[in-house]
Amino acid sequence: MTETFRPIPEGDYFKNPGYLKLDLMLNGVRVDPSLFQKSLILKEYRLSPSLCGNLDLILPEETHVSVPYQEEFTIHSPYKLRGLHGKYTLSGREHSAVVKIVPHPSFYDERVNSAVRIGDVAQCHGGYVSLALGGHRYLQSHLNGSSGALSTAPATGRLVLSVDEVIGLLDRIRKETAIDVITLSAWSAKGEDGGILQIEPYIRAIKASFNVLLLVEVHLPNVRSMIDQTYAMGADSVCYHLGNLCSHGDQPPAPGRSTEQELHLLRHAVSIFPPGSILSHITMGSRPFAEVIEDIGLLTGIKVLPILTVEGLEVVRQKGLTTAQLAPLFGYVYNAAKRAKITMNWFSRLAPFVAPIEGRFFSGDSPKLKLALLNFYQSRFLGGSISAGLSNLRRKLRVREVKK
Amino acid sequence: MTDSRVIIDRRPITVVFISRTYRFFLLLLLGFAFYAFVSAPPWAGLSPEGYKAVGAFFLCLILWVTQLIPLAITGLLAVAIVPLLGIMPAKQAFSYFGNDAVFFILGAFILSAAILKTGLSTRLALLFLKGGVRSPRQLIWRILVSSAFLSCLMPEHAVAAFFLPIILEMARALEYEPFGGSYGRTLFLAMAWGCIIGGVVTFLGGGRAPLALGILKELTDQDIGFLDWMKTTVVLAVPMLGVAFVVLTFYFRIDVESVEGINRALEARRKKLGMTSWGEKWVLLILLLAVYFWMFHGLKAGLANIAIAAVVILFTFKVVSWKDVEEYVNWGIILMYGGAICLGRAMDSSGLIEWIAQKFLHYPEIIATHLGNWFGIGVPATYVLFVLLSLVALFLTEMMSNSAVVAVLLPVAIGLAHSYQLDPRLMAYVVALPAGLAFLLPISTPAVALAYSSGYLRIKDILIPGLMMNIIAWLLLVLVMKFWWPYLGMRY
Repeated sequence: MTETFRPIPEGDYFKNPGYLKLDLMLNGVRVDPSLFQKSLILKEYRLSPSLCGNLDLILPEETHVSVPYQEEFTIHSPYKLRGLHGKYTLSGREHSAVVKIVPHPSFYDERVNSAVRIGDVAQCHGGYVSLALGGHRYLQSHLNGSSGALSTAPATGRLVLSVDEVIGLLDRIRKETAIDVITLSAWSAKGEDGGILQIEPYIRAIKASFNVLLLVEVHLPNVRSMIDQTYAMGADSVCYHLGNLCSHGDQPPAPGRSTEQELHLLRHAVSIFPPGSILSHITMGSRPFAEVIEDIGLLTGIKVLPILTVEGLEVVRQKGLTTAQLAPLFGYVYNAAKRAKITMNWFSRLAPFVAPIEGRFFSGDSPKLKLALLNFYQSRFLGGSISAGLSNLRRKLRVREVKK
Repeated sequence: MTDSRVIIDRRPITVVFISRTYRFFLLLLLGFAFYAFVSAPPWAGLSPEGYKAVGAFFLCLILWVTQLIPLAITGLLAVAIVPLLGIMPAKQAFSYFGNDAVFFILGAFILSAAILKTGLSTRLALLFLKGGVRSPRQLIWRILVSSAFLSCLMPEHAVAAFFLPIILEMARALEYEPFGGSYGRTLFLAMAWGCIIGGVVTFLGGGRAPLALGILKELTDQDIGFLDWMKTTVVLAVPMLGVAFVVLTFYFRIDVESVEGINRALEARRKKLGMTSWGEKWVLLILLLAVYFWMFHGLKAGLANIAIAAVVILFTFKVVSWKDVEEYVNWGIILMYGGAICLGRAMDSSGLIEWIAQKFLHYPEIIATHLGNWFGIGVPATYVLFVLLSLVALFLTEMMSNSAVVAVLLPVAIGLAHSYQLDPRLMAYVVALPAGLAFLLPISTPAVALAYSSGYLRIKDILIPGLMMNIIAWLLLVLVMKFWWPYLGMRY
């Protein structure tokens, strides 16, 4: 694992945006109180702290990060955010860097209907919009920094929005900010479909109304035809909640299904979706790193891109995990994906996660051509439309519906 | 989503892209090539209209062969492109949809719709198999004859469509699995070949003969009677049935000893049909009357008029509804016929046919001379012309629609007939008969395609005996032209 890993002393994190991102996610940031009085942006953040506990920053090299700043543990953070003459400076113990703040959307307090505020069901991180149709609690636990910007949470909510309301909501968001990627999560995983049929009407409506990439977060279904349907209905990428593949021992990852069966289903998904668009969370924190590495190897071996997540920041604190301990795992994901020739262009500029392509910061790699292409595809005016357009064209070419 | 399922093409995306879009790019290429061709100066000796008609002819020929767009749409394109290129006025071009042949085939389709709708088709098929089949060989013969006979009364593809479930039932009664038994394969091919052979006998067996008649009428103002056509074709069809029987029984091993199971299955099916309904009786009566009038009063009363009168009577007695007609009639073929007749007329009026005839006039003479010099065979050049044209038609019909062969070849053949001072009606036989004898490939004719779709036939089961049938059919046709036609007074 260490052969292509580039360790960096704690004091040099400012020289490496990847380390800085990871460290900020784990430790949070202290915000200079004067900013709340002077800065309009931060006032907006203060308006709805319960809705969005994180502060989105853009670090050097266009590295987006969602940083906890309200939680109690942040008072011990080595990082402090200051503002002077419209510029924001992030300072550490010895170094500092100029950063940008992603403006906090003004619509979080607006209502979708009489019962639901936009902030309860949607979160925006730049062009990345996460919708949780299961509602407030799921969204909070899924993306809110208080329970871990790197964490996943079980989908336990229930439907709170109709299809028309979701389309109206996205229209409202689009008035204020461009949307590149929409993430849609199933709120329940009952049945053999892994939850995809619940969100099918939403997927179809969103794809019919907006030219965006759509990432769905569901459980792995029991049958291959459901994977085919997921692609056909409009999902551009899927992130499967697999939990732990290797650590279960005699315990299968899903009732009635072995690891081999899971890998078989994933292989099928990889053959259906575009290269690099099948993702899976791999949890870390409470289990040995060796198991995590084994999972990464298994997934990259079948060309599934692993997304490393921790089981809540509380676990990180309890275990005393540090950036220096976690960084090699992210580097390992990048190297394994590179060895397996998995495309890492999809969803690569995500503030709440360390994207696999960002693992390059930990391995010391600098793929200039890849990054140039990535920057093009993520450019707001042309690239985003091209990415979504190509994905739609690909689907149109490959999907056929035949009568039974 | 409930009544359909999703299929994802998992081939590499470049392969998928090419396979899904090549038609568009080919059409684009064809469009550019066509534009470049018609923009160029005309060939020597050919009028500008004639030169543009060459472009329209090849455009339609390529589209009919490749089927990049449906046959019917190519027919519509033919009607539109002729006035667009200035070959003839639009009013005239569109008037060819009013040709007698178009309405005759429409009437014939409506009649066959009534036969199918009332279930008379199945009853007639079972009638031929009534009385118990005694041996496997006899069953093959009965299937051949019954499908051939019914194809004399209605389009061969319709006969194949209602015969297929009956043959499937027979195969199941013999406990055959798909690809399972040699005898099972024989039954499917007997059905398909019977349809093909019967389909050439009358004007009702398919679209080729009525289209040939339409083009002939439009270009020469001459006609062929229903009975006259049959006199020429029966002599070819009857020995063809015998040949088909011999090829089937010798090529395929008969691996069953008894057909008792089939008899039981047919009896059960017959019982299921119940008593003959009034609708079936009316349709049979009207059909027999129509055939009588076509045979003995067709030239005087007009084939199309008789067909339409029969249809009016059908509706008078409410035997079929308009909805049934909409469902069963192949409207695309009717559109194609209008376009094909228009194209043929455009080739004629622009002087193209005469130009082609002049260009190819000497080849049959040269071949006839060589045959005489080298082999001592003395045949007239006109006979060589017939042999060559029938061979070309037989070859083309394996690759493209039977009717499309008539559409592209008959106008040229009629032009050659004028140059040789032959009776142009002979050319309708020379082109339309071999155009119907497509045994070789599943794509050649709907009857073989349906038999192949059963899953019981492998491609080699069709190819090898089909090739044998094609060669024998052509040889028989050549013999019929040589010995039977002069006997009927068809001089050349």
